[in-house]
Amino acid sequence: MIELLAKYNYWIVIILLTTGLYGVMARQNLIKKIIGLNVFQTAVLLFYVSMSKIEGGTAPILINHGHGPQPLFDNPLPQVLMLTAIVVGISTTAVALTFVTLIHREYGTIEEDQILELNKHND
Amino acid sequence: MHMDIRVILTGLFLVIGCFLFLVASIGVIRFPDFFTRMHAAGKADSLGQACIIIGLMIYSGFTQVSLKLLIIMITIFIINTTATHYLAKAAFMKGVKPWMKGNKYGETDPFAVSSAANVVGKKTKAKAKR
Amino acid sequence: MTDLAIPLFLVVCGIAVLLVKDLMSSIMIFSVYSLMMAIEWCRLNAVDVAITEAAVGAGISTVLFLVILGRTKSVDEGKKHINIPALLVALGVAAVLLYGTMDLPHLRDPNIAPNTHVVTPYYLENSYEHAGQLNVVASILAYFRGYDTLFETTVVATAGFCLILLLRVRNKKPGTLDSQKIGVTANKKTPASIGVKPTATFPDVLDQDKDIIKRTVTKLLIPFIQLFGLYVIVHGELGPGGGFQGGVILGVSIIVYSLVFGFDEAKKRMSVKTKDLLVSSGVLLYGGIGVIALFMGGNYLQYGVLLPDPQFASVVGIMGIEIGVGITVAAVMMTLFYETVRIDAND
Repeated sequence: MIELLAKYNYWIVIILLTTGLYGVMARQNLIKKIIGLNVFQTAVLLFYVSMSKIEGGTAPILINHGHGPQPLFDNPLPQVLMLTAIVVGISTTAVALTFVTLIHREYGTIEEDQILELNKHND
Repeated sequence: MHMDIRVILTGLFLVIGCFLFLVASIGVIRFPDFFTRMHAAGKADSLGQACIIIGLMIYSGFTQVSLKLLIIMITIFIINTTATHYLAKAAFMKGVKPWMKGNKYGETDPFAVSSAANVVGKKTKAKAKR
Repeated sequence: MTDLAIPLFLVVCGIAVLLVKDLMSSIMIFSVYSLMMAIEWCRLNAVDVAITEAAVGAGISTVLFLVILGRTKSVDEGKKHINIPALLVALGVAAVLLYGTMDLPHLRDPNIAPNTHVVTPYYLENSYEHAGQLNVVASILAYFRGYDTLFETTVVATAGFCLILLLRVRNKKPGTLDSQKIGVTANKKTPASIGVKPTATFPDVLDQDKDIIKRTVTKLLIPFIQLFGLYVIVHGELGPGGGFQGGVILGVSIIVYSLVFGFDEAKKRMSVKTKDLLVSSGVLLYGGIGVIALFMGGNYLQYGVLLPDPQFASVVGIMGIEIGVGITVAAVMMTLFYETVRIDAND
């Protein structure tokens, strides 16, 4: 049980993941869905970056022009991967919001149940 | 770090800055109206961050880091106050009504006009239209 | 225990974002959530990720959401009810993940596999000798894993192309809306003005002299913002920074100009045609440096063959690709704003 308490960062990540997932599935408003998707993405980032931290490590920037003994560094690799993930996340959000604009232009509303109803009438 | 005058001054400024932030947060929660909340948030936040950064500058001494901190402080000061001004102006232009004495405390709908404000409200509306 | 304060606040913000009914409040809480996430990255010593999250999440994302909110004119969510099947599915996923974390390593353990695998010590040792960068994250991004960054820049440029293709309406047929408009937006609360619509009835005409404040402050600040953006791009090899972060800051400077002075003024400074060209030219610069390396006799994106001294050649090559990435990201940020705002001209 003590082990579960020591791994509290995974609990935080799991709560945020669940919240984001519920937001994408259950909320009717399209903008709320996209916000839920973003919450989900940042939770995944938190998962990876929290795994990269080492006890007593510092930011991975070399000192003294790379000569001489260096202090203990944190793992830079997950940070690089997550940097890519952030940028791809904002691109996805931008395109998703474009679709919301187009849906609003076509249907006049951005509530999912009303859009489905309008679709049924149109068919 | 032994206690010399630099550390004591830094601590003093940091405490003042944190106190100002605390006051700003309490004000944002407890004030009844949008404009009064902007008073609390804008003014106390700008001064609070200035105090904290001055404390950090005193701690760093006379180095390049202090110059960067000074520039950050001036930038945040300018931007924060201008943003507060324009938020309040945008709300006023849109029709958010200020809280008048005699309103229900903590009115949740910012566009509602209560009975006590009707008399005074007409004068302010006429001035804004001109 | 102080480690738990910010993550707990993040959880509260994350739950509040989805429970709040008003959309504007939801977006504001999301902006606070992004900023606290950036502070959490600083606490975890991931400085590059922190500056990217602060610029992208708390900056661009909020502006984008607000512009789209202003366009769709919806204020509140519709009626809300708890969706039981979705809740059960989400809790099921949470239970499965909790079971999976039994095997995951402890926090801050220096002996786990990601931290001791041969790749990471190799990157840390050879970052200065081979790539000439003191910032290990920048050297991994640009030198050791340069292909990933090339395709990431392409993804960003593709997002810009998507917006251009989807939102530029050339010939508008009148009466395309053949479905009934349900009056959900008939609500007396309208979103506050976000400076998007160039209307003439707005009392800006009255307050011509009072506009001086925002014009003066913006005229003072924009050169420094752009200088800071260029500094972040160039300084990526010595400290936190790099192409993406600097590019976002450069793009934001034009967005601020457009918000304060009006969209037509901003179009005179950075015309739409120039911006479209810049979106692709950054990726061209990046790929072009790789092709030049091919011509000089090395592999694709092998910077060491560009100049006689391999370390200096790496520094020059990485500077070139960071500038390319910065140009593309800046142009795409401007595209995100321009395309969503200029629909007003066609509607």
